[in-house]
Amino acid sequence: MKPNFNEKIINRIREKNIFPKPKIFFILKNISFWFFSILSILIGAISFATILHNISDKKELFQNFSYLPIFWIFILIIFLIISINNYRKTNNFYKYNIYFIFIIIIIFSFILGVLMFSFGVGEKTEQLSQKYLPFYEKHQRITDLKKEIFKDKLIEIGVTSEIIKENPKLKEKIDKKFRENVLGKTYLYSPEKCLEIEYTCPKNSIPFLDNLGCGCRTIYLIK
Amino acid sequence: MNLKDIQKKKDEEIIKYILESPDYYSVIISRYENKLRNYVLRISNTSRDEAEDLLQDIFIAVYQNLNSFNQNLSFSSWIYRISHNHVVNYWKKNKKHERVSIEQNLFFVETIFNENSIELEINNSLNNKEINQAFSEMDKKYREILILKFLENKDYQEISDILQKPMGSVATLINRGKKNFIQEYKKIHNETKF
Repeated sequence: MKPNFNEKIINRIREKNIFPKPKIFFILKNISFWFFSILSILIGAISFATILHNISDKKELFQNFSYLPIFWIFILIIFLIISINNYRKTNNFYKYNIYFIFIIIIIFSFILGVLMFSFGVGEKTEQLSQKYLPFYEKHQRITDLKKEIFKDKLIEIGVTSEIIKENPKLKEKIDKKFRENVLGKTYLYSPEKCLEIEYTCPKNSIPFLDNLGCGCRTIYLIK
Repeated sequence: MNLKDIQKKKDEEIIKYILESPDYYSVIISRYENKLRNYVLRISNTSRDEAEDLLQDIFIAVYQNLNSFNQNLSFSSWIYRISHNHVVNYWKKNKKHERVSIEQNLFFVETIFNENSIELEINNSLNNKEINQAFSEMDKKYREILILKFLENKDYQEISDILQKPMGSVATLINRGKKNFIQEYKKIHNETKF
């Protein structure tokens, strides 16, 4: 006799040795989604704290958006998305409007980010990134992205203010190129004046002076 | 405990017995076999044979995931949710055209127009063929929610649990679904008229 639907299912379960998955599997699955969601919010908050650190002492930001720390903005956006995606895989996620949850996560990340910034987490993250992330210096600002875009036309020269000071010819050359070519903007290049007030710049960049005061610029040379 | 005693129990209570022996699962299968078969046929563009295979896979998936059943949900909502997800995955895998066949749309004709909700909003001189076509042309997201509301007789809370959408969105989708249906119907009706 042909088995009915009911028997077909029971037979299939028996023949193929199908068992219900253990409860712990589902508990761990749910916990892991919550864990990664919270972890992503934390990473997002650290990114926000670092963004605040990067822009907090830059008056030039309002004149030149090349100062925007795009690396951290990118990390912040990525981890906010990961956080929301993980949240969507938890039980009962659908009981609340996803846009409402999105706004809550953003607000929470930003508040946490401001707190972390006030405790110096942003500064520490910036220092650690410069120290341990080899690609970090190159990709953290829009100017560096522009360098990527024009990579067949521009080359970077690794100069520090010390080298320029000791090498007047190089100084002259860079000064000329800097005036002519750096992103189409002309700055009054006067590192000595900035060095007098012990204005220091990170590796691969030099001090310059404009109407707002001393700042740092990465140097590129046209091929 | 024998099968007859189990049959008197609620779905949620039967789960712990099924976890001891799969034989008790036959009680759940008997309760939901026809309901889910109709539901699968209504929301998927499949033949009866394909729907039968899908249904078998659904019952196996339900059995495998018994331990994930959340006691805050009704068992019925949970089993419908698994069926919905299975059909959606089936669409994705097979890239099926997500339309209901005319034959299956007869369910709508027979049932929805016995309901007052849509009947009140459109006139009585409706043409069955046009109704079927209008349902076929409807957006999938509205069609399924109308099936759950008017054919499966689910309340807002159950639909929210099955489709995993907030309650507010369910109410909105039902209203939009009705409007979408009327719009499609009018479009088809005007085309055939001229």
